[in-house]
Amino acid sequence: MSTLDVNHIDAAHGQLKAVHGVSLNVAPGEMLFLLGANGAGKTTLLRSIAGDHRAYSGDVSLAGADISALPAHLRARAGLALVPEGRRLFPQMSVRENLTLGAATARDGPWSVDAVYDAFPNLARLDRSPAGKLSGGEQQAVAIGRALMGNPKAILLDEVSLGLSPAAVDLAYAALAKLREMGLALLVVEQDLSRALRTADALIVMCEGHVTLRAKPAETSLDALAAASFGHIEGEAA
Amino acid sequence: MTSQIINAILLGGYYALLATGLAFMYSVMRIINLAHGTLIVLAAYALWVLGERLSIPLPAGIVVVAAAMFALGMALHHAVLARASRGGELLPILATFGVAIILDNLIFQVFGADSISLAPLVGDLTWASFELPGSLFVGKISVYILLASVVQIGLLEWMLRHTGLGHRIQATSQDRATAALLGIDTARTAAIATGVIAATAMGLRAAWGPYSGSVQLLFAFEAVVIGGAGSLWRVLTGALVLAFAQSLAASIHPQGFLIGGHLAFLAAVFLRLRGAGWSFTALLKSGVRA
Repeated sequence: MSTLDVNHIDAAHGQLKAVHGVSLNVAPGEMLFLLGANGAGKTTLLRSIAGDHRAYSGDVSLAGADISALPAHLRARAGLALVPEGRRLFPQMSVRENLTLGAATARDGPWSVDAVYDAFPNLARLDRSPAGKLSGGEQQAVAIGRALMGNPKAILLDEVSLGLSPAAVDLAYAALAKLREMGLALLVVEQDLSRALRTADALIVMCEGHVTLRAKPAETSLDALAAASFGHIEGEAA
Repeated sequence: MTSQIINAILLGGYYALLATGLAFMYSVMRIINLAHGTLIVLAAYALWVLGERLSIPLPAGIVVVAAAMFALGMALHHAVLARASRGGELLPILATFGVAIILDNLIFQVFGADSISLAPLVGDLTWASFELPGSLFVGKISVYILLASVVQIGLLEWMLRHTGLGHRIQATSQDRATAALLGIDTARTAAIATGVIAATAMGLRAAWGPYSGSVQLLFAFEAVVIGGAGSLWRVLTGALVLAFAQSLAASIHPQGFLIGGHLAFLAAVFLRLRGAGWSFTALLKSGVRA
């Protein structure tokens, strides 16, 4: 059974339809990459799944339970975490305070501030620093740690590597690989197609709100992913 | 002269007590609560009923009224504010204006137009005074009010910085959507904050009548605009500036008291809006922590 099941999500910004009937599912310990150019509807899809944006039709199930009718804070408490684009930390609060806010889901599980510091050793010495003073990579680590503090079953990550140095991106993906081993379901939005091809268990490409390609990394190529990002659907494989 | 300065500081303490709730509510919920003054008057009537009619000692009365106002704040949030705030920036202002009118007239209906005072409940406190060197006398009650406002601001700031509830309130205030994504029930957090504010709204200074709320609101609003709602300590500064402006103008001309305050308020409005477009955020400097 999948951890995250998304069925026929339609979402719009006012008159502008941003997501057209997209379905996907992510199994425990699976890392699904969502690719596509700017404006393809990836962020809107993620926000609709997390309840931050109201989809006007479609269902979302988490570990078999339908959470479509729940507002964002109850979806978080059900075990669905979103690491938003731009990280959205609380800049004046310390690293520890930001992490502790993540525990507002009141879910049981292995994660604590110390466990996050074990997973991201570079954060431990920044414990009392205001989050706004951190580098991009450190902020991304805090944002992922904050999501983990809620002991989620599935994590949605928007634009993980945006604005980060190559070393920081490697660190972030090393952490995600550990989470995959722990059996979390991961849905990752990424602009770097070659990184996605190397890392993913499965790939979905979107263009203008539609899915243009679904594939396993072994079945596809960089060229096919790029073509699908620009709307060519002849390469569809699933 | 010294005596006027001391009295202005003490008056500023009173305005800060009034303004703290208004500023806090704006920071957390982005709502300018036009019923704030009326709620203070309502709390004062409740204290009066408990003390005068039921002979409950004032400290016990304060605890009871604080609890009741907390409940009223939560109820007000669920019944009016939460719904109204979905309708944009202006609707909650109109809604709280409506609440103020209803409560003012209900109070008038129940208690009549008599001015009443809590003075009989506190013995000689209202006219007792401390003697300072140089034969200066300052009213004890004014000193206690200044201390109360500093303690109130200190406690609220401490709560915001060092408790889980405070961090949730800050998160809700700064970025409601992200707070919700972390599993924070932003509506409940805001309702608790409203309750806390309503509970701290109390008056013990002068005699009041059923329609005193709007005057309290006016001074509170002026203090918040002069100081900025960003930090509660800035509200105290704003309240002191307002009190100094009023006292200074009163010493120039006997009728100058209110005009001096309004001039300081207008100067602050022009300074704050200079170069920025008109918006409440520009006017009040948002965010619990600046």
